Amino acid sequence: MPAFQPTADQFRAFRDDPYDGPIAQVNILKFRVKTEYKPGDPEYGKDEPGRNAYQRYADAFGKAAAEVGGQCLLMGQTERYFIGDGDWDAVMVMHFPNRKAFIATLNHETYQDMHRHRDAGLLCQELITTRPSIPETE
Amino acid sequence: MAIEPTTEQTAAFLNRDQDETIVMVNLLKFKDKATYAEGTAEHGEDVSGAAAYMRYGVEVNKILAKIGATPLFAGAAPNMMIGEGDWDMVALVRYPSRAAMIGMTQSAEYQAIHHHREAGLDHQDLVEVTELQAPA
Repeated sequence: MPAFQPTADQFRAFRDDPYDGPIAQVNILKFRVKTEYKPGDPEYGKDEPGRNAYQRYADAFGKAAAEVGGQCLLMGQTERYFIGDGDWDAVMVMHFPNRKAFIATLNHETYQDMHRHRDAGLLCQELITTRPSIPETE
Repeated sequence: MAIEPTTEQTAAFLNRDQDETIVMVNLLKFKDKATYAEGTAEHGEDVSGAAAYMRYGVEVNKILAKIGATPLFAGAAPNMMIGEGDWDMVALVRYPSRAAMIGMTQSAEYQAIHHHREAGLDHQDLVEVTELQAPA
């Protein structure tokens, strides 16, 4: 079942997890073939691939995340599925010092403005919350 | 669900620029209990699949260092925040080239540790990506 947002249960499980160490958010992404901006968006009617709109979101999200110590570990476009039969276009991994920093990024004053780019460009995604299990080098 | 590439997947990989830098995104699901094949030294050991895979991980990291590959990140995956996937771990490795990755998997050194991977891994997805500019 393609998903776009956390369910209420998924969001609560994330928010209420007592682990307070660093996390990496692994985004597995599928883009729209063409962007779907809404009437009223400045970009409404633009003829471009969904990945362009998502990149605008990723740029803005990365800036907001940096204010609370977040950083991008990987933004990669899929060359192929080498094992398995998934169908995803890109993988973006964002590192945060703790889960509060991630939630702060979602609540950043610029988030309301940036998320139209996510809506316009993203078809569906999975988001895997991970705890680093090897010593961090950066 | 797979633990190895199909013949077609391998052929497609080999048909691309062998000098290009790539990152391999491993989405891993472990067996509850390791299943070492008969004939391996560990056959019959009562350890978790995760523990068997970690033996592979420790050894493969040594090989990665020799071929100039960089483990970017490995993390246990306690939560799916969006979607219905079911993974135990995510590991990212940057290879200096496609040739380096294939060369590694064909080396005797790698073949000698691969039984730990087979014993511990239930299935995985392996996504080959090329890096775009980082968002920030």
